[in-house]
Amino acid sequence: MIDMIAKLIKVLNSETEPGQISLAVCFAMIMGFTPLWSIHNAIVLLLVLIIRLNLSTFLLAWGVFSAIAYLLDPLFHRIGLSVLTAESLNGTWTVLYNNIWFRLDGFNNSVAMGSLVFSLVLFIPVFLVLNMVIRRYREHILTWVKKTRIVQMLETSKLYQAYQTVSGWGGRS
Amino acid sequence: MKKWIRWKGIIPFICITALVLVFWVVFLDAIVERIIESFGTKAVGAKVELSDADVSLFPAGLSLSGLSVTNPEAPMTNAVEVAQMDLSIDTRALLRRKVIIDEISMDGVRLNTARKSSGAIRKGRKKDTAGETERFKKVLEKAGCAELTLPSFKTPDISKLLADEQLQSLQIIQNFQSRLDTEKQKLNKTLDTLPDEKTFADYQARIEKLQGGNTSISSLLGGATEVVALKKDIQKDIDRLNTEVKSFNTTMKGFNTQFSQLSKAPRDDIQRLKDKYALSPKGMANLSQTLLGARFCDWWEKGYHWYQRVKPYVNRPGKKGPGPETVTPVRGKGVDVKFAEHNPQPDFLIRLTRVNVKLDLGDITGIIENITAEQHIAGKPTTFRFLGQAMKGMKAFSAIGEMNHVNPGNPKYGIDMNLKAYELADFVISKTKVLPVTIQKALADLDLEFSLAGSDLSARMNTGFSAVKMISDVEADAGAVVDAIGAALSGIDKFGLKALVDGTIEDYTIDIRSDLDKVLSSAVGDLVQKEAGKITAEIEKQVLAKVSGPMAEANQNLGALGPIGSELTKRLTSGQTLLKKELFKGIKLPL
Repeated sequence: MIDMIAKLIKVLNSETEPGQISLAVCFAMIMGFTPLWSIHNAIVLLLVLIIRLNLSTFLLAWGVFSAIAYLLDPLFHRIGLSVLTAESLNGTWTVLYNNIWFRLDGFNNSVAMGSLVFSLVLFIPVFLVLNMVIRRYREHILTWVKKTRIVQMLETSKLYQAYQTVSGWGGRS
Repeated sequence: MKKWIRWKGIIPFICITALVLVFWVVFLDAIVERIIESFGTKAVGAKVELSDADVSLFPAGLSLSGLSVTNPEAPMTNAVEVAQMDLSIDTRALLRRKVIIDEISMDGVRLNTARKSSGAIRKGRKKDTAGETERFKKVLEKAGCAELTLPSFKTPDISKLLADEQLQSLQIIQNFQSRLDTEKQKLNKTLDTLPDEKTFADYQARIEKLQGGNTSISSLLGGATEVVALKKDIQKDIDRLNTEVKSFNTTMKGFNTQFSQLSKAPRDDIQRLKDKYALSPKGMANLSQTLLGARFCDWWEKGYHWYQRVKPYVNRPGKKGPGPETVTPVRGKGVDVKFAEHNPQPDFLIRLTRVNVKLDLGDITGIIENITAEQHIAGKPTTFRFLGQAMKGMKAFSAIGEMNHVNPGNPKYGIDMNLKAYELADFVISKTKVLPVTIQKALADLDLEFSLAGSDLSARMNTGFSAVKMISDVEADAGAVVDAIGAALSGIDKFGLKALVDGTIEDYTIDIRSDLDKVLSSAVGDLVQKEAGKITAEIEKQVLAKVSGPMAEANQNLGALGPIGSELTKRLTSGQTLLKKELFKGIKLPL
């Protein structure tokens, strides 16, 4: 756990593009919220591996979103059910229902559809907000934080030592 | 662009995908085995076990061996055991998340085999069927199954029975006695208040005084007034006595009527006890219904339980109303919304099942077609045909049936079953202590037709028994009637049995007829009548003996009211005699 937090701090403080971190979080959100064994997650995994984004952030965020997903299941169910039973979308869903790949993906499950819609809707806002937050953090907070006594004390702590240990792993994955 | 894309990432993706596939292929057999055991156990409500599962991917198929399904009612017994089961699966349908099994062949199917360990599971069955069972029992009772108890054929000990019985006639006599006592006390009190001998003696003295009195005009005038007053007094007393006499006569008339009804009360008691304890030839007329009906009702009940077990597998009602249908899966996993399909297929369908059942009697082969809970989608009913020939204890067996839910609003079930020359051995007909009957040996031919269309129920069973050897292991002190029935049954070498069930699923009648009735009637009819006569005579004797004492006492007490009546009449006569005296002639009382 300490290693993971250390990694995150390292990534945030590194020269990694904010977009690479944000995109990793957004993909992790899809994979964490939606049921793991589905075709769209295989595509997400392919994108995660092909697009040059931060894998440490992706793995950490995936774990976090998977845990949150259990709490959000009732919300996903409600969203999914209302989307799937919407009269105006019935034609679209009927076409997809008769397609083997979509059936295999289990899109007609309320939780699967709800979580996918939820994460797709949040994808761009989360991406933009995170980009902005990371930039602001680096510009303003990081400089100030480094000067604070707490950080100076932390630098002598176990956490900092762990950070030092992983610091040689490279910022760009 | 190069900054954002790393094509080398495809290699780990391929590796991860390959790893997942290899994992599935390696562990697929174990996973399938586990899934079948887990789902089967949940569905049956008792352990479902599998020795081995072998999944083949191209073409898609599954081989199961050593499948055992525990009987949830008897956890130390397997309801079904299948040695080998081969399934060929429709791969394209599987991709659509539909399990369509083109063919299953089952070999070495055995029923009711013993288990080494209990197959019970901790959790109770998911569905609470207690209410349903209770409702069925009520329907069965209504159909007549509850009344199938044999009468006691033993001659009862009447003295013992009467000691426990409350005779209504005794109660009536007691009430009569109590009313008599009350009335007697009331009359005695009234007598005390009425004019008596002394009153009339006083009147006599006054008359004599008036007759022998002064002859002056003033005294004559005064005397006339006194005579009028005296006559008035006497007349008043006579009127009172007259009223009491009339009232007494009415009361006595009522008591006499009650007493005559009282003497009939013991007859009612005798009739009631006779109906209760004496054998009646009428009750013996359809002894076969009583004797064989209990067994038939047992079979009927078992059949109903099987129907309840099979029903969910052939009937899952379709969606109601327009729009997509939602099906609730496991809790917390959301719901699957179903949409219209271009080529609709049920979620689960076994197109063809070939079964080879191994019984002690021999092998029965069968075919079951279209097993699905969504017949309205499949468009075909579940049908079955089973055939057994040249078996050890039976010439032939066939069962053809249909479970049709294609039109869910009008489900139809039908079975035609036929058994030829089935060798019965030690077949218990009646387990009752009163008259246990067992067919030691017989050949049975059975024809059964059953149909349930909507709620209309109809079943016909014709059974012919030949080469019969029947025994009735009755107790030594069972009585002459049971001995005679036992002897008659032992002499029977063939008989027929017809059972008819007609009505609706909620209200039907079960009628069982057998030519055994004729045999039993001629064998024991006279004896039953004689026994019934003996019991009736004994009841009559003892009831009359019990009642005669209180009855005589009541009669005596009724007679004791007679002197009161005589006394009233006597007093009335005394008063009337006084009024006839010379003194009162020509004197009229004012009205």
